[in-house]
Amino acid sequence: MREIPDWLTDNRETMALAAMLTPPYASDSLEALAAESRAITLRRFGRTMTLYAPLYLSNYCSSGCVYCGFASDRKTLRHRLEADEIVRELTAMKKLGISDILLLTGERTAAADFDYLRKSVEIAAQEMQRVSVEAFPMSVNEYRALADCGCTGITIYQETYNRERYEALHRWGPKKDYIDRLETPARALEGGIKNVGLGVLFGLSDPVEDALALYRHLRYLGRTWWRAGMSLSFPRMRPQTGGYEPPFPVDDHLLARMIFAFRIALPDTELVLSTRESAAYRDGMAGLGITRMSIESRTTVGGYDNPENKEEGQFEIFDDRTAKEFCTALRKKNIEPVFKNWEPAYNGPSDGNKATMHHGETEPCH
Amino acid sequence: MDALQLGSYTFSSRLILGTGKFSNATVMLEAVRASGAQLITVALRRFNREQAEDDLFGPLSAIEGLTLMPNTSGASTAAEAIRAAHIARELSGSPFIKVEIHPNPQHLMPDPIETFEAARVLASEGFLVMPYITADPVLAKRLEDVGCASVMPLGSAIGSGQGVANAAMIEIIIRESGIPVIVDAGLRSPSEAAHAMEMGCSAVLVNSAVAVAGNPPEMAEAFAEAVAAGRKAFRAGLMQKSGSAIATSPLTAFLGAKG
Amino acid sequence: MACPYNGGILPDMIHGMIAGWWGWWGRTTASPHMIHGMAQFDDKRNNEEMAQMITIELNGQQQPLPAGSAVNDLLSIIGSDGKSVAVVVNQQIIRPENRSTRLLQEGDQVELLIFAGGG
Repeated sequence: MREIPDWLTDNRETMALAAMLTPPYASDSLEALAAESRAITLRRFGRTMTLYAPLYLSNYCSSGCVYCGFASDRKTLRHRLEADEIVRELTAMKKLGISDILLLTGERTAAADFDYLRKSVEIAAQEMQRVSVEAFPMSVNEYRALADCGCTGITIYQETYNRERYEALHRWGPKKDYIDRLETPARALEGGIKNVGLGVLFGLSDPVEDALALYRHLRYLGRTWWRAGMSLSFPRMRPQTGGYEPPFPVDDHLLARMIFAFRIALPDTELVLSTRESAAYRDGMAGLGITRMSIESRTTVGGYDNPENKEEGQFEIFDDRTAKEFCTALRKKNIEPVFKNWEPAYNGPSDGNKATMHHGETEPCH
Repeated sequence: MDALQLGSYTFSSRLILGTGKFSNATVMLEAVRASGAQLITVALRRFNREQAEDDLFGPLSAIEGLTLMPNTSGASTAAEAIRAAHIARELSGSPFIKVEIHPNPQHLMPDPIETFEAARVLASEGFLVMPYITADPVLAKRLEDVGCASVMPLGSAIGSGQGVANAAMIEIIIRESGIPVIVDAGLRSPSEAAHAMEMGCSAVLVNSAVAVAGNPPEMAEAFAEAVAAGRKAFRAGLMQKSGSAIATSPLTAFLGAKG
Repeated sequence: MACPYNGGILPDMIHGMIAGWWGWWGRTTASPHMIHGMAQFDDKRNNEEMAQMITIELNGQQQPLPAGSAVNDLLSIIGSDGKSVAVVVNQQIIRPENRSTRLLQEGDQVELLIFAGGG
């Protein structure tokens, strides 16, 4: 059994964050944290919100995650998008103004394997300004191949950093391997992926312990792959068909405290909130610390081209406003919605830590 | 023990002392002893029989527990610094080398390009490279990438006594670094050294402030105490500075009452 | 050349050492103590050998030396115990174990370096 790395349990750097998250909250009231979080967000990110939308390519899955609507023992109808369907979905998404997408699949299966994913990324990169992927853990070479095809971001949640809880919740399949999951973002960065998104699924384990571990994970990656972009998400378990009751529910106040505390502790990191949260919550958090949000989300396979689709999604959506409605709400708060925050010309694997200038290697300009 | 780890060397003292600018060698040696420093810098100089007292090797060998860190002061190119490092290692037997390349003898600011090149080569040869740089967070990471044992950003210009003039940059370096960050140059007072340690520096290097003090050994002792205090405070977890003003209308009203 | 960093005006600073390597410092006459040292040279050398002198450049200055001298002999002449000194001949470091066998030739550029105060 492989060891948990030292950096995951080293609490020297997380003292300040722990103080903000642990009752009796030695530091400030929630309002004071909100004010500081807002000030930092304004200074660093201005009055903007980056927007993206998820596209589920396939809901085939080989894993047995207790909490997920797509687990392999669920009765969900499975299918995957074929190339022409992907194109149609992308076209529909573009009509909504979307140009930054997150492609999702379940765990690696024969039906939705690496080749399928790679081809899908290729298609998406032709239509969209920015393509990220949230799928199964891959090898360094696979990540490099994805980067070559135009994938600039990988999102991979540890779900929970508590090893015991992790192994109990992921009953079978490759996802059961805790250490392999933990090492995945490092492999992505090693493969030249330029951005990684980390997160924990609040509700599965003690949220404060998980938050501190998440912080340590991000800091550890940032020290080695210091050229990479990093973002953090705060998915919170919501009711879904299948009825998994999260044993460690996180209420609105605690989630807000988490977001403010992370903004204060990590002034430069993108913080992401999805449509798992209600419209009121998202509107409230916009400008206070969150800098990136999903819009117009469908958590069914596809769903943009045929919105009448009655399939069950991976989780229920609580903010089902259209992109237009959401942008109006943002503007009311004096926040500018940003649909494009990337230039595809910068696609391709990062040279990363091998980028070193040697004398005479660069051509002089005349 | 909260020891400073540099390569395979462990030091209990986080005060590194420079040996230049003292009025005479006796005072300098007393200051070294008083400081408790275990790592000290020396410079290479031509042997001169008429100035035999300049030769510190004998006197320094008499002090127990000292490791020498020769500097490459005088070099203005990477090639010169590399050559100086080879000679210094022969003489000292120590793998430590402070790469110090300042082509302008007035402001003595380090050349980042020559420093990077010298560091890259010397690190690959097994030296424990301690590069002296301006507080440039990206340069610091590049040096870490090529295998330096630490980075040594200047607090302010050598001998200027301006303290940690660029704290914001040094904070970034400390936050992002995977290797020890040692503030070197410009520290004038023990409180400044304590401040640097409170910020999270792994050690500080002090020379002028001790050498030109009225009583160098006493000042050395004061610096030692300040460095220890600053480090202790850092490890104990300093109270956060309070943030911005509260907004006029409550930002968290949308959350409703706590359930 | 002044070097404020090491606290004084030191003509034989490392600047000079390095400058000497690149050869742009002019030659100067030997200083009296060098000749004195020479006179204390090993009397076992016979007069014929004493008569054959070579000139090397030591720390940027001219230094006469009996032909056939090894590095250790030079160190004796100038009064160094060799323990705390680094020896570089024509840009090559000469380790202590080789100093009795490394012979000096006419025109050799020798640098002898010690550790002195520095920050």
